[in-house]
Amino acid sequence: MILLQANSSSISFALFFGTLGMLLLTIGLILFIIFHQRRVIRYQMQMQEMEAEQQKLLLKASIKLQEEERQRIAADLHDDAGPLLATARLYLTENLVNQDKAQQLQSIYNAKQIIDETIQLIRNISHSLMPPTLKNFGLESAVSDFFQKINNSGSLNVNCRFYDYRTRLKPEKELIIYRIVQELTNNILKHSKASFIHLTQHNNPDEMLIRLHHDGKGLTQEDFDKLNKSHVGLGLKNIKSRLKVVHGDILFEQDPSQSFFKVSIEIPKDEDEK
Amino acid sequence: LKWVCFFILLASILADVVSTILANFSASNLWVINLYILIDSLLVFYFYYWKFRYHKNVIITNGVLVMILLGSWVFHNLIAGQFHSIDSWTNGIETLSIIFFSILFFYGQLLRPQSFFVYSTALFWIVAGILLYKAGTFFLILYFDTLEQSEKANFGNLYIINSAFLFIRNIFFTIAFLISKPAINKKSHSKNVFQRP
Repeated sequence: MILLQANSSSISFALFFGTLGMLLLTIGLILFIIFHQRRVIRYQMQMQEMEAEQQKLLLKASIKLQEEERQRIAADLHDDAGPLLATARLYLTENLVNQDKAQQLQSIYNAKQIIDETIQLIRNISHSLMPPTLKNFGLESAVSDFFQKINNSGSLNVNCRFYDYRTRLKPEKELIIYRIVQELTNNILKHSKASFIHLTQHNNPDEMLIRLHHDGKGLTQEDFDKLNKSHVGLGLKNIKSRLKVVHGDILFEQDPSQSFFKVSIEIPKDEDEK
Repeated sequence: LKWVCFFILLASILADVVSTILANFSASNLWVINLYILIDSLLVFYFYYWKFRYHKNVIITNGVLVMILLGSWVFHNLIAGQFHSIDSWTNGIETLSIIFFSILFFYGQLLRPQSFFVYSTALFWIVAGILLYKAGTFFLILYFDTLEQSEKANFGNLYIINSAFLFIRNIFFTIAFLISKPAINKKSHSKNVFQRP
């Protein structure tokens, strides 16, 4: 209002500089938008590239895991089952009919023993692919069994506690969680020099929470992310890719008391698992 | 929306031609400017109504502003009978509102960028043109009422400001017409404020 009541020369002055100011502001705004928008898009593209790189690493890890698993099965079949069956075949040659009865019985008995051994071997291979306890009795029993075996070695104290696992998750989801727990436990056994591992399970309405505590040398989330982006840490990449399948999340942290490390896994539930 | 821009262009050319003819016959051409400002503002408001039609708050604000503009124009020109002057305050507020809508559009572009080169879309040039013109003529409209009678009568001297920005805006609109690429990517995010149906 003061400006509007001013005299003619000051009005011309205000008009000129006002217009100039508005023009500069507008040009500044348009330039800012152009450059800022390009920066935002460049940033988004970088993020997408990083994500694609991460996906590639995970895929590579997953393929490598599959290949290793296949090689292990192939080696087990070729090195163990193969010779056993070949030996059994030797006992059961055409010459068997020319042997006396006692020898025949002995050969058949030996062949039977070897075939039983082969059956057991194939069963073990099958169990390593899908533990029967997991299939028949669920995650709680499978993890308890697995921990019991470690406990029996007497090297460290391992225990687990499932607080609320009445409704079982889908079998494929249970297997993924079991594999993750296995991988994490193996990592702790191999690298951390822990004296105890304690696993707890809790149920939330929308997700299941599994937490592993140990008193060894553990990882923080920063270490985990770093290893995931590097070309080492295949096991951790497998954990990440497995979690991706079930849309889960994992958090590595050190307790504020600095006395132990914990790993928390969150698995969202499907509608029929709630 | 290009049709709206075409009508804005057409209105400005017609206003220029008529006001020049009237000035040559020494007749007052202020009523032409007065009418042109109204038509131009209404078309720009329609443009932004179309752009923000999925945003209730913006639509309501837009509607209220159009009502104020129309009511004020009717009062100023038809009831008060000041057809040969410009209602600076109302037009100033309307200009500020249009500047605000233009900034809102650019803000949307910042939030959800759709192409690497924002200036490769026709919409960018249209809004930039509108913004430049309205920002450039804001003070001219605001101070018009306070000018001396002789200056008002000799509006032509000040009209150069209007003409210069009009020229820039029309160039921007022409660039928008020449850009063949559609202004809006139809596959863009559904929440995008600038999406077409």
